[in-house]
Amino acid sequence: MNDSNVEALVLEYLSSPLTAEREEVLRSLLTEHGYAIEELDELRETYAHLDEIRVPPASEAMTEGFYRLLEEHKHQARAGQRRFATLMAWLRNRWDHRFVARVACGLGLLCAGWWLGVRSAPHGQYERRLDNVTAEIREIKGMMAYAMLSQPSSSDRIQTINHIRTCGALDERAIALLLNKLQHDPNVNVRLVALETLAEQTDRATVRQGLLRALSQQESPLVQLALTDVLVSLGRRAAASQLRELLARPDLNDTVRARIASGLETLM
Amino acid sequence: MLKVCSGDLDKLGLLFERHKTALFGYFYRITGRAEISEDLVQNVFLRILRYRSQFTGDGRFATWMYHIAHNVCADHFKKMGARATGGGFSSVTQEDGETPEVRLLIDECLQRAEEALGQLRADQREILVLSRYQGLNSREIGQILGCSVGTVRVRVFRAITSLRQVYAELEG
Repeated sequence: MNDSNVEALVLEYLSSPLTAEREEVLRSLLTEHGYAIEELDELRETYAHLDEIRVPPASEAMTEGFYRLLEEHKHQARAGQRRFATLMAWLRNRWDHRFVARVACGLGLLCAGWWLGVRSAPHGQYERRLDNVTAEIREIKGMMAYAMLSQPSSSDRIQTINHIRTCGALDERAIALLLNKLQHDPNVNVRLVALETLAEQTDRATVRQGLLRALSQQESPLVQLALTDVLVSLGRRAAASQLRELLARPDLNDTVRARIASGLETLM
Repeated sequence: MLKVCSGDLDKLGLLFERHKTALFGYFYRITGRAEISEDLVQNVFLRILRYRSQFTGDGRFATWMYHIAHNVCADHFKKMGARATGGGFSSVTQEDGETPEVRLLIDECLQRAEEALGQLRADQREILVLSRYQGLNSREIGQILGCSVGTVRVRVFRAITSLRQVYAELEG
């Protein structure tokens, strides 16, 4: 016998008299666990005291209250049924061919309108308009940048070139402006930043030709060195004649001279 | 009850007549107040009306009814915020043929039993009442209270032990 059966037997003993056989089973089980059945007797007696509590009869008011409640509920249920029945009767009265035809026409028109609306929705127009707006914004930004390139402050011009560089693809007008800055800007740093930007665009013929033209116009050794490096890295023999012309200048910086000499060796 | 579920609300009157006394006793033994118990009985039948569609007919109607009664009782104590019976048990009239001495002795025992029960926690009072008076077995009580059969047995035993302790203290 497991614990659950012992529990059941104990509660049974506390609740009501057991048969002699079951009482003997409980007694032996309790003895096995070191208890005496008499220890339960006090509990049984206390449990039985509960029966002494007398419950008074419920008043008639409780019963009357319940039946009133039930009547109210039935009344509400009937009212709900009446509303439903009225609705159904109204629908039945309306249920003639003309009414059905009108409802069907209305629904058909609604569906047709919805279908036409979906069909004629200008998705393509939205995309085209968005592209146009994006292009316009890009052009405005470009125009602002070009205007800023002619500012008197060299740091502002450098900032503008960096801004143009980060804007993405450069158009022909931007390339022309950058080449102009490389050739004619009075500030060395501006020319160097312009050269850096143009060096990323050497796949264009206009840029390569512009770089070659700029070489002969440069007086700053720093720009001469940077230009020499870019032209040598391109590996174009066309640059050799320009480099030789520069090399022939008597006022050329020694470092630049050495770099051009090694560059020419590379190109040849 | 299945007829009530299908819309025959008059049949609820029969169920009320059949169970009202036991249900009133259940609430009275837990709350100790006749007026409150009457209100709670009506609350139970109001909920039965509202939630009749939830009765599936799988178990006994009494088990389902006491499950609702348990919830009504819990709501009552939550609202009252009290664990005690709230003023003690209502007085019960003297029966014919009792001598004053016998009546005094009975009254003493009765008062002690009522006080002992009233001093228990509400959940202990409830499980004692369910197991002693409402004709429910441990499995059904487990369904009502939402616990296992083993837990029910342990809780009943603990409640009886607590009752014994309180009773002994009252005896002095």
